[in-house]
Amino acid sequence: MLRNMKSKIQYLGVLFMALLISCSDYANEDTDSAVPDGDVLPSDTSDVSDRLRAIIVNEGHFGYGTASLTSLSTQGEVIHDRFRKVNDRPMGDVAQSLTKIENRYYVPLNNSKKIEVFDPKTYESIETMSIDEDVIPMYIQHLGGDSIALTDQSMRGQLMIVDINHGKERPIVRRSIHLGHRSFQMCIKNDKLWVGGDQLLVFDLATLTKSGMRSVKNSSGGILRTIDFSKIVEDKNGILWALTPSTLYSIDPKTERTIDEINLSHIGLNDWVSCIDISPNKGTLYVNAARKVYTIDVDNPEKPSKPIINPTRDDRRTVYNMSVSKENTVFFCEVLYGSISRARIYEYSPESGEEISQFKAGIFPHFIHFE
Amino acid sequence: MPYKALTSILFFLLLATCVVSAQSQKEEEIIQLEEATVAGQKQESQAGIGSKTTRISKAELKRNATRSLSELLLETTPIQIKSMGQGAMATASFRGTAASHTQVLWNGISINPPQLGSFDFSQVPIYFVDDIALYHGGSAQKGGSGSLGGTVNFTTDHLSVTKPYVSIISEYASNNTFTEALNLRISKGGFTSSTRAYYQQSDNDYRYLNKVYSKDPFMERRKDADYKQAGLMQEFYYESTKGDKLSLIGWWQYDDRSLPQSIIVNATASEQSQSSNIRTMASYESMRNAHHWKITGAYLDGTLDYQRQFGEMDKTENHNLNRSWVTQANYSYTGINRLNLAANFNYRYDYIKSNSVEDGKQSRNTFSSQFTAQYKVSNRLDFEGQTTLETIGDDPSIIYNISGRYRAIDEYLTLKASNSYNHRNPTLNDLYWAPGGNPDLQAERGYSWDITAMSEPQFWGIYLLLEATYYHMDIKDWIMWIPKGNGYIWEPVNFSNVISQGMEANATIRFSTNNTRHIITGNYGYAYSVDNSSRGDNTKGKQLPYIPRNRWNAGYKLWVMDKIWGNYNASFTDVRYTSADESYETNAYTIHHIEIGYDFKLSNTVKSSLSLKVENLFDTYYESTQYYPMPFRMFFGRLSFTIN
Repeated sequence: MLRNMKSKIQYLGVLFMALLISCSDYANEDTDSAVPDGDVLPSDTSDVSDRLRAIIVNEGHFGYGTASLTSLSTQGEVIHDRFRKVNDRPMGDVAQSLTKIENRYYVPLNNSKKIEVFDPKTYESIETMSIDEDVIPMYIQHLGGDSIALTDQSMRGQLMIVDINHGKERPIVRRSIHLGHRSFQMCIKNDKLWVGGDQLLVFDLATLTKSGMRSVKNSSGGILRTIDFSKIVEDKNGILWALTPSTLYSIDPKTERTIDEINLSHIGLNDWVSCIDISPNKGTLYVNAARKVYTIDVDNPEKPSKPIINPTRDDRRTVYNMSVSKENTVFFCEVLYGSISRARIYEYSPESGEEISQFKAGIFPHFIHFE
Repeated sequence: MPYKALTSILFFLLLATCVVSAQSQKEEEIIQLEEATVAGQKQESQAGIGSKTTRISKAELKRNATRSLSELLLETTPIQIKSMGQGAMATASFRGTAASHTQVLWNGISINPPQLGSFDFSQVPIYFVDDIALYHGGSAQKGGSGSLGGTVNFTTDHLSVTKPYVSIISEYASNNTFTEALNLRISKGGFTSSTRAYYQQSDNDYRYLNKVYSKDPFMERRKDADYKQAGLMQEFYYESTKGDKLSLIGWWQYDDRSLPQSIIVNATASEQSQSSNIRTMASYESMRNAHHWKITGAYLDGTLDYQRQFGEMDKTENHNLNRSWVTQANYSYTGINRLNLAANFNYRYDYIKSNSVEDGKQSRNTFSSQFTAQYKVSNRLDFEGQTTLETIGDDPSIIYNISGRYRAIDEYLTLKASNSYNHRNPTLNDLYWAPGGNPDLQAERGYSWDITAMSEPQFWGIYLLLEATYYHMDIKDWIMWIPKGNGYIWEPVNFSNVISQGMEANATIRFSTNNTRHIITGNYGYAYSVDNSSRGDNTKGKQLPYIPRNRWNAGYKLWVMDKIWGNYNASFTDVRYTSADESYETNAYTIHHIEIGYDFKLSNTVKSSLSLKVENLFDTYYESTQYYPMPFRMFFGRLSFTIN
């Protein structure tokens, strides 16, 4: 009886072990797995600052503190999340942009309500500027000296003037201008600060006060609501261009009036993630509607009819940002909503419309800084 | 992966031979002897005979009377608890599934909130619980559909007493944490009344070193983590001389808590929530010869209010009301040789009112009828089959569970196996949240298989229980919330297919000497839970976020002269990935607790107990949810009296 029992137990033991071993990687094939990640350097903390081409700012998953930066060198080397590795801590929650000021990088993180300041060469943290306001920090514009402007995505919106050389006697947020709506990307032209958002606003740099705030209007007197994360770009003629959910506007920075209004409703702009950018020679505008990229000549602005880039890929992915590099190639940040995983960056040639390269960035890549 | 599986097997074998746990029913008897005037009963099973079931002993319930159900489950079972901190929301998940796949029953009635779906286990004081059973997998279907991962059923018992019984517990703990509990129980002529009251409050402002927010680490106190929790439960039971039973139970539970933020966030606004739950239940049970029937009616009323405040002017508020009416009729017949038959009918009406759902209010009717047959082939072999027809609105669907049990070698080896199909309907938030609710959502569907080997040998005065289960689950149309349109609005969609497989093992060693009694317990869970959808995002075959591959806990309990007792518990939670492609993770941790107590008599009728507990003995920094630090070492001093 006991012998019989022993053999049964042994048999069951073997069966049980076999079942457990069958818990091996289940159907671990993936359509992306054959694509190289681009993490080609021997060390994740390698310094490529002498050959840096671009830095991808990855938002990370909201609430999870997975904001990161991905560096791309001119040789195609990719280094991911070096800030975390060098400083042994996460950069924060939901990174929005990156601005280089006097050999320092500034990255606003909107859910963390802070700006991380670090060394471009070593990535060592220099300072964490904590914003003790109920705001959603987004983009930075250097105003000169020790002042930067910081936009706020919250509906009650403020434009903050931040002191980058603050100290005990000098608060981080020097003052705030209440806008009452969301604000995003900025630029400086003609000694004026131009602020995109729910209204395209103009301030005189010398005063920068609420009383001096103007809103740019179109030919019919309507306000210009720029697409959320889209830039305000300046062309070779010194004209500004701003993209709204249906129309591309050129603006005379002197008169603050629109010059041309190009209706783009036919190309299906996304009022959230369509972008505008400009070629390195500042002669050609690039506008994207999802993965379709259209060009517009700044000297002869006309409605574009045919996209110069129109790749067909897995349609469940969405373009989260489009930017034009200094080599006049088009970069897409692509994300798959619902998938909390590292996403890919695709580079396209505007001449051929073909893909040149791709690499893996971080979670929700959203902004590209070209060095 | 095979290497890891083998490592897990070796670990289990080591565990099984030297430590390991489980919830022995015989242990319950020991504790019952300590309260000789109190007679208990075991809850009716909610699942098939071949399903994996875990019971938590009365001893554990008594020892943890001042804690919440989430803390107890973490320390004594292999299921995964995700907590935002002491007193904060805590959810439970079985076998690599989500918290929404855990069905929670109170005396057999589902109390998952219809709006949110997931149940907050921090809002159940152990003091209000007399028995807990965990049904692993999708096999527990008596309370209706929804348990794709498993079911937790906690019950109150009809405990009659020969003399009035009073129990008072007073506890003070670190971080200014007070707990008071009272139970008054009287019985006369078949009638029993039990009144329980519970109150706990905590400043919960422990200090920790924040290494993640800024360049320079800094010490800070946990902000906005204070909470108050109060509960009152009144039970009336009547049992006739013929054995008919009538019970009326009312339970009010109130929580007022601040909602702490992640430490990677500069929290500039304060958030608070208040929840109030009134749960009432009436049931009548009768047994005549081979006929056994029971009728239950329940009314559940829950409110959840949320406020966010920045400065004095800017305040956001959200109000939610959940109401459910439940009626349940059970009938079973045991008059046929070797065959038991049962039928179960459920009707449930859920109503929610909220400023966050379409039209401000929504409702849903659910009707289910269930039939069960249990056939005893021989003294060694039993089978059970169960099928349920459920109709939500106008949509009928069928779920089932089949299981078997084979006593292969007396007490040395029992084999159990089960297979079930279950589904989980979208919550009313999933369907009607404004904006973003998706009324076209399909139910999540889950197939579950498991096989269990169990052994309960006794030799040389040592009782040993070993139990090991292998499971495999296949869940289709997993619901996730993802951004749509302009990205500011999220909507739920049927997004993933998930495969979860792994093992659960537990063991108990129990032995006594002249003056001492010893119980060594342990649980181990291995969950390989992966997304099996092809989306081209490198997530196929990757472990789901916040599902640890390995979880174990082990405990040692000692009684000396039945007066001095001690308890040591260690629990381990493996690395949990925080991204779907396993590129980010949060640290594994092991936490140790130790407790010693002394029971003494003040008189023939008054007994007292004094105990000291140290939680997180080694002062470990750990996070159940990433960037939400848990308390460091905490001291608990407890004094209790029973008058009987």
